[in-house]
Amino acid sequence: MAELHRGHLVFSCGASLYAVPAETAAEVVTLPLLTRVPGAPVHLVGVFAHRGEVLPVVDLARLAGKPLDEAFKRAVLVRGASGAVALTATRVLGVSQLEGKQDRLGDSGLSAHLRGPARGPAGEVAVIDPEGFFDFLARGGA
Amino acid sequence: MTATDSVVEGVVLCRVGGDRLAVLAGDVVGVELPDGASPYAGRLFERVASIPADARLLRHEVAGLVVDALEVHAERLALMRVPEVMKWVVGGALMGFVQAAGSLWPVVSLPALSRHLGGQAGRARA
Repeated sequence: MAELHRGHLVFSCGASLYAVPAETAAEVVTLPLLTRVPGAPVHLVGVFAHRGEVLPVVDLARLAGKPLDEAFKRAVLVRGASGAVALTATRVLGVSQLEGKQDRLGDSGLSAHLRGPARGPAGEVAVIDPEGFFDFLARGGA
Repeated sequence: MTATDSVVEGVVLCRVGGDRLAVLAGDVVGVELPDGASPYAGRLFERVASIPADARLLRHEVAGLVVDALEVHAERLALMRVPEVMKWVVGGALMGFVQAAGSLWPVVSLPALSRHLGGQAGRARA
C-alpha cells in the first residue's frame, strides 16, 4: 500500500471522495457509449474499447450500495497487475498528498479494500488498495 | 501489451432490446421460433419485458437461447480478451469481445451459457 504522503489521485463518485495511488492511475478518460455485458452485476456498468483493450467500468457508488449516480461521464483508469479498470468519477480533483490513517475501513465488501480515514484538501478521502480491490472484483465484488 | 487472444471467423450478432451479444456461428445448429422452454437472453440484461413476437431461438445441440434479432457476420474478427475482473461473469461463458458493425460485442459460448442458465433454472426450481 502506497504511503499517504506520496501522491494520490483524488476523485469523487457521488457524495464520496476516493483516492488511488498516483502511480496506479493511468489516465482520466471521457467515457464513450458503454457496452453492457450479459450477466454482469450492477456495479459493472459496461465496457469500452480503449487503445486495443477492453476496459470494464466500475461504479463505486453502486458497489458501495449507495444511490445510483447516472451523472458520470468520466472515469479514472486504474492499472494493477491483473489489468485495468475504469472507475466512474463525478469529479476529478487532481493529485494530492494525503494525511491521516491507513486502517482498513471495514471487514467485508468494498470497505475491506478501502483505507483511511485520510484527509486531502477537499475533505475526508477513502483510499483504494488497488490489488485487494482487483481481487475483490475478480471474486464478483461480493 | 496486446489485448487480443485470437481471431474468430463467423459470429452471430444478436440484439436483445438495446443490448448486444454475439455467439460463434459454429455453435449454432439452427435458428428457430422460440419453443417456450429455452431461456430469453433478456434475463442476462435484467430485462423484464416479454419476448418480442418476432424473436428467434438460437439452437445449440441440447439447448438454446432466445434473442430479439440476429444477423450473421462472416468476416474474421479479432477476439479481444475478457478483463481479468470479468472472467467469472455468466459462469465463465464470456469468451471475449469483437468489434463489428461499428460496435463492441460481448461474445459468449452458447454451450457454456446454456449450461449456466440451465443450472440457474435448476437452482431456482429446487
